[in-house]
Amino acid sequence: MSDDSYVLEARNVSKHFTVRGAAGRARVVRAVEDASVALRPGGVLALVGESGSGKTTLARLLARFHPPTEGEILLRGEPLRRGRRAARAYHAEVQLIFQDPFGSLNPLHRVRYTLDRTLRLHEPGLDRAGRRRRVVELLERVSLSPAAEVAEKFPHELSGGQRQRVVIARALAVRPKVLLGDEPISMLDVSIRLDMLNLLHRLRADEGLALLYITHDIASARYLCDDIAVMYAGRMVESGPRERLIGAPQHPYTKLLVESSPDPERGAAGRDELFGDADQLGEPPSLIDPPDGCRFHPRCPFAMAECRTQSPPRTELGDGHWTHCWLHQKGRAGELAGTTFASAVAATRGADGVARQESAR
Amino acid sequence: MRLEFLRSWKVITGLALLAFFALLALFGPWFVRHVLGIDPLANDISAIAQPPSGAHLLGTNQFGQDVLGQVIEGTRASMSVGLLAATIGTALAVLVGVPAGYFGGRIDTALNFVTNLFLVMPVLPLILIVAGYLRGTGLWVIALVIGVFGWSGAARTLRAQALSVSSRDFVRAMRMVGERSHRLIFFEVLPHLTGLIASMFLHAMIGAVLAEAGLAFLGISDASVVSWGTMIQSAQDQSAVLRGLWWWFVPPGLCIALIGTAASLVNFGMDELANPKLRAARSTTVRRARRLQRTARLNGGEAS
Amino acid sequence: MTAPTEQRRPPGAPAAAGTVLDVRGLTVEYATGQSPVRACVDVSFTLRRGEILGVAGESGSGKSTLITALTRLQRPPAVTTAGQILFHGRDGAPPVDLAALDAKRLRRYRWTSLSIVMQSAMDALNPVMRLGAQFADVLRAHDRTLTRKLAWARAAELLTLVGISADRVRDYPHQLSGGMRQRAAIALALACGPELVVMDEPTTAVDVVMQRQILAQVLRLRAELDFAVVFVTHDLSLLLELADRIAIMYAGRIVEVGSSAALYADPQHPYTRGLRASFPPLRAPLTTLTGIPGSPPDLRDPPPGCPFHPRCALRTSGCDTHLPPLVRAAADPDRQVACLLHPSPQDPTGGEQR
Repeated sequence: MSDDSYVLEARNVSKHFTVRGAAGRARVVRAVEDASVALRPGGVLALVGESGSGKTTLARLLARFHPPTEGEILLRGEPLRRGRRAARAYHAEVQLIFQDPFGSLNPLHRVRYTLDRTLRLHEPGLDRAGRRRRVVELLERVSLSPAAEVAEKFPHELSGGQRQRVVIARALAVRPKVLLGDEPISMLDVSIRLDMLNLLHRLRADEGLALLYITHDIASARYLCDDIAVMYAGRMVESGPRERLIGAPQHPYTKLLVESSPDPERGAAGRDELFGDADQLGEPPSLIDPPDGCRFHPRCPFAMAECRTQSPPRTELGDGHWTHCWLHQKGRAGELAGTTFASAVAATRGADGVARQESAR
Repeated sequence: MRLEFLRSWKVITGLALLAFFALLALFGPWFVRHVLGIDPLANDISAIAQPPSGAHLLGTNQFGQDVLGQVIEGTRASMSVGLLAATIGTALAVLVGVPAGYFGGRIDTALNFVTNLFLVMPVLPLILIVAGYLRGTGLWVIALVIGVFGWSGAARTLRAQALSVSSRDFVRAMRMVGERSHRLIFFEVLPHLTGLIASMFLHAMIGAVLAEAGLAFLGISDASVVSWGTMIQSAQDQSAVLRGLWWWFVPPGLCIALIGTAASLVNFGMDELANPKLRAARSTTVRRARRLQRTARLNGGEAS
Repeated sequence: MTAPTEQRRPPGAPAAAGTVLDVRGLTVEYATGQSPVRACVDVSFTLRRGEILGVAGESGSGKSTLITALTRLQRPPAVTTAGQILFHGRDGAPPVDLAALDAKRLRRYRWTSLSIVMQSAMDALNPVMRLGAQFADVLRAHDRTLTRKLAWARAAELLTLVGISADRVRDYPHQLSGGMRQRAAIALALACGPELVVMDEPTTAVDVVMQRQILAQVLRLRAELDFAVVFVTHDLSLLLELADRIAIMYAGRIVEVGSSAALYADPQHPYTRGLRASFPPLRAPLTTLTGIPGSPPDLRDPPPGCPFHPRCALRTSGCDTHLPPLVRAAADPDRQVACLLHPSPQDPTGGEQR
């Protein structure tokens, strides 16, 4: 089972948070349940999901912000050790890029200070001049020029895209093996997002970095990544090579996500066809009291008896493509390709005798 | 951006007032004796409880002492108590509040316990007891007592702020690249609290000046030193209010009020700059917007 | 949908039939610092009855400023310094200029003629009032004869309209999920049967699946209740699917207007092209895309000439001195472009000196 070619691996990790309600009652939020990811050097995996799907929690588990409740995280096949020294050693190899470039740089420090401190900690052998050279080199590697000028600026003097580049430069100063990107482009202006993705792409190609790209935007995941994993309500529902996963989703939720994403190239007939039937698709469940069985079953038009009681096992579909869905166990997988999610929902609703017209009037 | 606060008239006025009192505290006694030629402690038997006049600009008290001289002389004592107590109180608040907020967990629990203990302690009776016990040891002890008993509220606020700054991404990010805790506290977190700490210091200073006056009023003070508190206390002793000797207690009272006003002005001004919502309602913004609207209308009128 | 509108009309002339909003030369400035900052410059467009007009732009493009000016929700330091916002009522009365109305007369038009849906539903919903009470407040403010009971009944009806069950009318906003809150905010905006709803990034804060549900509902309601929509967002790929026509804003100006189909098939302004190429495709073959190099201009110190020229790959001589006006394309009367590469047929010099 153990595969040495993975640089970072999370095996069946779960994270449960305890929160206190207004009445002081402790409740358990099951943010991540039984999730596994594995990163190869030079490989890029996208983790796609909506807010509350657990993708950010999983990234933070991998960044050691919290310990997992269950399961284990392996760095080059070795389980994590506890303690501050081990954490420091871990963070010399695994770095996280935050979502908000405005929040992840201290507004009171110049760019040079931030990078210089990082270099002092990780390359203690360097003298002052050496660090100056490295700062320029790092800024040039993330395409910030003129580097010497940028180094003297405060974060508020830089645009969002420039700041995010500084954040990436800081992470690179550590010379990590793994970069975790927690929605690194979602707060940037549309026109500069792709440039950031191109930069990440270049880093993995040039330096063999392993990259975990966390996003809610499946189109950008396709642009950057080789493989895509989809999370729903704390569980992983499907993972596979990008074209297979988007072209022929094998889990109803993946299908819903792909069909809901804007795609002007779809070339479908009219607006009515694109949006028709899409007004009653339901919402993700609460993670305090998630549904039994498959967590997607209350919204799923294909749901059957097993889905309500038992968590679906993993079905391997070849080429590293797998999914957790009972349809595959019961030989009903073919139904997915024949219809759209929204019309399947409309069809079940019609069959159930619930008059949609009634709720519409 | 850093010196922007100097553009607010409130901040400027407040700082100017505070600077004035600071100068008075530094050079006041010298000025009174050598420029005005007044000995604030000397009793002029020929002028007992005289209203303001050419000879005594602010009149004299029951003992024939010059009130102007006493007010200026008292500035030093009151300000010293204020400064010292505020320094001690703010330092304690920073030392307890910031680590509590930054580290959280057990350290937070312990430090929070101490803070709460001081918060619920009946401070005034305690000060009375301690000050009574240490009777006769002078202004410094009074400042120490005020400072040591008056830091808990500020520590609470600082703890909350430090907690919020510590959970910001830039602190996490620097921790992730391996920055040490003490550097995270002093170079990443603390600089974001300087505004708050400065404003707390000003508050603590007013509080201490008032507390000194209050304690003096209750008879806990060093009677040999002139301060605003002792002035008001002796005016009270001699029933100055009933006898209409307003010039005896109004000047020191006014000074205390002015210091309070100055500190509040600085705080209000800083607040406006820090909070853009307040800025939109600022009269200059509204005025500027109106002027722009007017000129736009005029130009539009000419065009059509 | 494709009825040609006339060329520039003299002020005060009647607009084309079926127009609900006619914005002319709207300029909004911020009175900050020494000289005012122009966040919206000479913005003109028309909105037809029942149409969905998309406004796309990045941060700093002036799209939010435009929204607050249209709805008259702006606060100092923002000031509308020029232009008209002519609103044509359903009743055929002469158009009113919303930009010139005083607060009292403006109130008559809010909710009944024009309403707004904001990015965050919590900006529109009062957290300490039950949903029904908020709806009742709005309904009764515009129809004094309505009893409280009837108003609550109407509130429940409005909620079912957007797919929220009627018994939720007694809930507080925080008891609803984010998606439901946004739907409730839309129902509230529709409470008094407006002819125009301005939507400011109404689905940016919700996930794609919820976004699709909300938009499906908006489209259905629009067919039933017949209102026009100004839909502002940074997501051009969504607008291409949703809107009838799209206006692209850059640095406070409209740089291109056209039908969604035309903008999809043949974007003419280099900025529109760049923006189109900033959204990676979901199914089409992947190529390396670059987005648009550089960053949007600082409005305090806009570049001379065309504001896009510093980032434009196609700039030629004149781009840095001449400000191209928004001119109608010869082939497609629905299409307007502000670019020197597309000189206007009537104005061969192409552009005004600045």
